[in-house]
Amino acid sequence: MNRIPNIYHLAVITFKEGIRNRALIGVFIISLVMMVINVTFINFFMRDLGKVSVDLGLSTVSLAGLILVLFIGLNLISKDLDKKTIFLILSRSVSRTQYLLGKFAGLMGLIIVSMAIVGLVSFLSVLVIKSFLAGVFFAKGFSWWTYFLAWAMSVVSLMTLTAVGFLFCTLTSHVFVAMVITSLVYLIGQSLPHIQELVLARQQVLKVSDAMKVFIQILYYIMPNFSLFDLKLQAAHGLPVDPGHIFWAVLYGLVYTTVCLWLADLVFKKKEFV
Amino acid sequence: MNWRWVILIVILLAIQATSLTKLRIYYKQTEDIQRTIPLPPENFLKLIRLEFSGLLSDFIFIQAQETLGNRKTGEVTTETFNRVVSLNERTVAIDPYFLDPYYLAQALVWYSRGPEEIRRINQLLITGAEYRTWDSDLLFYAGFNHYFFLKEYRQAGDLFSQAAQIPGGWTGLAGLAAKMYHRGRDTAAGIILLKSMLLRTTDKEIRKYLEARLDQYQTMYYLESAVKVYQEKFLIPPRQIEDLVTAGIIPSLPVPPKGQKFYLDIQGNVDIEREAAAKNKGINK
Repeated sequence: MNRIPNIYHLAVITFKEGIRNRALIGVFIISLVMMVINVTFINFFMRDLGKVSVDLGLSTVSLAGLILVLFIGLNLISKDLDKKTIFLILSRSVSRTQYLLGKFAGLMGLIIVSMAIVGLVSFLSVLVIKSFLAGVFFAKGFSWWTYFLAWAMSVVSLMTLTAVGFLFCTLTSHVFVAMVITSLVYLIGQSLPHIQELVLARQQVLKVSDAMKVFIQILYYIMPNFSLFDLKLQAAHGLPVDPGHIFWAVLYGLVYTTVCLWLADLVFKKKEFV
Repeated sequence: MNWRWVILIVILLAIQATSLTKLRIYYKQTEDIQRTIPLPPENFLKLIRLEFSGLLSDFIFIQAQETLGNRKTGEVTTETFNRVVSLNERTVAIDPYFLDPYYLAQALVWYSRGPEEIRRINQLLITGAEYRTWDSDLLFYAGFNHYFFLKEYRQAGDLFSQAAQIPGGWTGLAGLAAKMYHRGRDTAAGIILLKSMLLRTTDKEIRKYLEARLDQYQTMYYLESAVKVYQEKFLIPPRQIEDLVTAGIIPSLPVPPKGQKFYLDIQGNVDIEREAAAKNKGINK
């Protein structure tokens, strides 16, 4: 009966806990420093100054998001297990599923708010460059809408990564192990499409056995394809974005997140806290 | 504040400054060796770029600029040339839409030592044009290199022709392409291009320009055909353009554009030049 309020309260607690974390201040400081760097960095280039500023702005958002998920997000869930505070929560008629969903919702809230702040700072740095320093050097097709879309897709990517992190947190119980595995999944998920491209290229660059090809294909469908969410180049060069791509990428992210959370829930339900 | 802390900080800063100076000297001494270290392959860079393609390409491009800027003399050695082009190739392998590497590559053409180096840069420019489909500059640069350095007029004509067909490009490119085709002894290709451009152009001023060029190259094509007939009839090329009329191949010389004159160059090709320039060269004498 109290399913939704329970999830909501847990989400709020997780969010507040995350806000209190000093690392968040670090992320914010990084974004401010990057903003200053952005204004000076463009001086090293000749023509494509708009592209460079957008690159740096959106990369800052992604990098800050990654730090947030890997170093703060995963800590928030493991802390309860380490400090045994989870007993306190689960003894108050909160189911394990509600606990997991509440934690995830709170963390997503934290990620969205933080990304909004970092995104705003990066937007301001690009805006200053476009308005006062190098407006003519921006791509003809540049649009703030694509810029926003690239930011939003970064958030979807982080949501998927968070879900993957949750799954490994429930599987391992040790935050460091979960962090390492999640980082590895992120690295594989980013580079796997290129590996697949290389392996399955018509003109073979690499000599790969058929078994390896099959293995890479299977891995391609199992591992999260994070490169689908990357729209930074489109935003930087003012390239058109296919709405169909956005739709399928968001749907993919949502389905992957749901599956990961469901698996995490299955593992979490059977977990024994000692 | 405790003085001991101040002294400690000063000592630490001094150590740091000394280390940096020493490292800088070491870096300077090994600079030449560092530049010979092979660059990572493009596929490796594509693997490690993750979602930071743009940022990685920016950093590699900075390295290309640094390599060019840090050369010891004004001269660009073959090693420096190859290193900068390789860095540019890697930059665009990661972000093929990035304009600056193409721009720097085109600047490097002036330091090239042979046709192979120019062809390498042209390959980079043409690959870039496949991605930057809205940008006529890269095709123009590649066409210019074919024309100016390689003296390959037909290829230059093809590239200028492709550039001319990009919407929003420079109107003069069509005329330039036709000129290249004419120089490459394929005036007909230039005429076809100008006619196709006219079919797609509604702007009055641009149409006027294209019509004038079309008229000019159609006349030159007419004269080229007359020269061929003359050669077939007399087995030698005409010595001057007026010979075509004297021999009865054409009834009269077509009227050239105002202030210009048709003439036969040393190789016997029909060309057009300003009257004053033609007189100075004594071409018609």
